[in-house]
Amino acid sequence: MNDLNAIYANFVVELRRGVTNLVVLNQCQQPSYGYQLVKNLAERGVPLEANTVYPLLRRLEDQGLLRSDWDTSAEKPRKYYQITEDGLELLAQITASWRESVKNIEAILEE
Amino acid sequence: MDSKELIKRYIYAVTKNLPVSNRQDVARELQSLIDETLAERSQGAQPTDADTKAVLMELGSPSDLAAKYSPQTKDALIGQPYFSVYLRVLKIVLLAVTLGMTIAALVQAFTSVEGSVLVILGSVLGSIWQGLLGGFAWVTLIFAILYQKDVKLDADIEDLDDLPAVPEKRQEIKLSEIITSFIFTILFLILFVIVPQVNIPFLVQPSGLTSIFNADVLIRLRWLFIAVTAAAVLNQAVRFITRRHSLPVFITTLLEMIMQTALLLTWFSTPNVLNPAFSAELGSLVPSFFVPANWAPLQLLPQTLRMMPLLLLIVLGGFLLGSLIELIETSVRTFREVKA
Repeated sequence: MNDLNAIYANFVVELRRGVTNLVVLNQCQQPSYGYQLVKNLAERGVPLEANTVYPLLRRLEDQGLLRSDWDTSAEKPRKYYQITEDGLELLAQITASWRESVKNIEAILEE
Repeated sequence: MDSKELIKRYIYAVTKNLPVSNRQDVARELQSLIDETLAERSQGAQPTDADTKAVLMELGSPSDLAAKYSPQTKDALIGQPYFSVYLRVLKIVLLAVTLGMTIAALVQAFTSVEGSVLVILGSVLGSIWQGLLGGFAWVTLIFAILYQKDVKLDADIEDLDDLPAVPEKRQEIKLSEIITSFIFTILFLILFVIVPQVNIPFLVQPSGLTSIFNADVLIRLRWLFIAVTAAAVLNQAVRFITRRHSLPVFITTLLEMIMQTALLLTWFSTPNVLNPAFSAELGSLVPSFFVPANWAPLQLLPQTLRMMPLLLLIVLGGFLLGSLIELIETSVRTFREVKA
């Protein structure tokens, strides 16, 4: 039974991994910082680890899909990320692709 | 260890092997994340050490987090974080090889009788190029294997209390220091093991060269010389990896010094340690270099050492003194660190 639980946990992680980029890009349409993203997503039922989100934000920035700015005006300095033009274009594409996949997979599951 | 120090060590462990260009920014962002998480966890109160530990544990082991910052798709021969370390090692090795080969090639060029200047220059450049290619190939091969086989650059840290300290300025070992000793080690290896016939040429004449030391002795003691070189390289490698005075640095320094002393004692108690031709030349050129045989303090020395020119004895003594000072310096700095 324990084995099955472990396999299940692994499945969930694998399923989520693919859509992490989509969710993070989507959330960055408003300027956001890492911790805020982690909290927001967890509250909305998509728990992601900080140690996944932070490196991911940086990778998306390296790919030119996000840009970042340090906000040092507040008491705590925070690095805000926001989506770029390229990011928006890609976001539209992967959102469409996601919806298409969900529709098709749903259809298979319903059979 | 207090919370602040623990966080400092954790962030250092994560970022130290990341590319220099974003090391600081990642460190700053991690600090901000940890502060934020801690503040929430302690609900406005002063966070306890236990809170800090819990937050860091949640973030995961430093090496795992470092790996997430440099994803390994294995589509490169040498990927991050290995690549940064590879570049650093490559620079040092190429620099040392260039200097070592230049000196060795010049010695050989000037001791070979025939050949025009151009031919000599050509052969010098040729051997430097060969040395560089060899150094490049070996370093690249070693790092490619380390990367492809996933050999960890850092030991996995199970307990946060085991995180190594961030080196402070006074405990830090300067890179220039390591490079200098590495260059001397390469020179030592070249002169005494690779071309023992040349070792340190004293006189260059059309009939040939006169080296200071007896090549037969050098060849007979070859393994001892190689062992000393290996101990020196080991010490420099440990210094390069840790970059601060610590117990492993102290131990390898001690080992190197023991090897050096053993070599010097064995070497200089061998009969005919000097090239007889050199002794004769020197005697005829500058008789005053020789200590008079009946000089009283000399009688205390073993027979083989009595024939040593005073200058060499001074160099030898100076060398031993230098090693001793280095050992004392290392132990003082190590002790300070351990106490801190």
